[in-house]
Amino acid sequence: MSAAIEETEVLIVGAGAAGTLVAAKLAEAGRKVVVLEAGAPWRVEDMVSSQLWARRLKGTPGVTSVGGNPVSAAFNTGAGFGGSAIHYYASSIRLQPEDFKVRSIYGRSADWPFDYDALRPYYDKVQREIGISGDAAAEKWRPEGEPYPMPPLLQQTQADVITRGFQAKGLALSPTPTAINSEEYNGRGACLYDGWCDAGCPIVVCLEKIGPILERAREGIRIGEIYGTSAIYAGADHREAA
Amino acid sequence: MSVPEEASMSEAGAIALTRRSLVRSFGLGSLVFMSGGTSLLLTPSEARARQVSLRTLSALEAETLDALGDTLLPGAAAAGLSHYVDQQISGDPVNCLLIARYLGVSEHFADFYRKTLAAVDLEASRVWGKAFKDLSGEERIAFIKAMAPAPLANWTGPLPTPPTYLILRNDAVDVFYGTVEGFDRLEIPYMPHIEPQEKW
Repeated sequence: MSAAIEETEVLIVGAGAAGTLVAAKLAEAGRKVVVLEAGAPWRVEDMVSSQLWARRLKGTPGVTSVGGNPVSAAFNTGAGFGGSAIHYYASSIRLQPEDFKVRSIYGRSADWPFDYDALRPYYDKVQREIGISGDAAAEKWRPEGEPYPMPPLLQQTQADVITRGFQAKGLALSPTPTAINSEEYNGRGACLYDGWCDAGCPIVVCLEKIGPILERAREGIRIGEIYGTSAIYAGADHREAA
Repeated sequence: MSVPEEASMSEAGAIALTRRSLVRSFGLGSLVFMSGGTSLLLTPSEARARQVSLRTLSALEAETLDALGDTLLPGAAAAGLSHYVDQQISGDPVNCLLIARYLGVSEHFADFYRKTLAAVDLEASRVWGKAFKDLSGEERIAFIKAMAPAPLANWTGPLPTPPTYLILRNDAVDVFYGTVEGFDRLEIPYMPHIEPQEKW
């Protein structure tokens, strides 16, 4: 491990969605990259179809939220290779332009150091790369950007019911933009609609495509191990760090 | 929980344990139980039938947990509820499958169950003058009904009674319905991508 760090050009802590994608891009560009990850080295073949098994992908037992406003978010977090992106539901909604200026507009939290227009090309690039299904035209509230590369996923029965209710009230609805393949895309098949997203998707139609992205670049990446965090301090104003 | 790469076992019911077989077996509910120094891959109900020794829970705690489970979901005890929970709280929390993990219970899982079961008996003694396992069926149901809607005033458990109820009920549901066989009971097609190896 120490030898790998000595030889590397880039050290990334955490093999979640951001860490693995950045690692893959840097490795594809010829950089020597080491990714440090405290959790399990999940692979797609570990995604057993079981609601019980799926819980091993979630949360980080032993890590405690402390402080004035402790939070619990085990079910939508995850440790290990892929992080929470292994089991999340792949909703991929763009931020609105005003979301970048919440301090200026609403007097809350903090403004981002850049605006939506600066981020927009990267939204477009990411959705082309990972594949997002959706209906941009139906999203009347969607900020400027390329349409989605795939049509929306099929609407299921409960959504039909909700849609009728919204229509009766004259309210607009759109399919949720989702990083799940509605059709074959970039060599990966389409969703089978059998509901095991929560347990991880071994046929990689969901954003467990992070795995394949890293697989492409694995030759240039070394995976190391680190000891995890033991506590996350959530202060009264949610801005204090451990 | 330390998993050997290859650990052959000859005892009936056991299978050659590899990381892969272990991972797949979890899908159907087979877990690694220790019996006489040997690792056995058993379902919780099989572990109960073989009277596999509990590692963390006392006999009284297991009896209380089974009584709670059977009140919440008749059949949960026979499905191996106490062996399931005991196995899960006795290993590395990183490998835990309990709903307590999913819900972000911050306390060490073994401590959570011990304190909860102690609180159950304390509350039962305060109201009825006896341990939960000794309550009548009607008293047990009254106890459970009181737990669910709002926090009990004198409750001493680590979590208020509504989330405690949620966790205990889910444990019972997990061990009874959370497997391929459980899906069959509910007549829900399982449709796995990676199918677990055996059925309960």
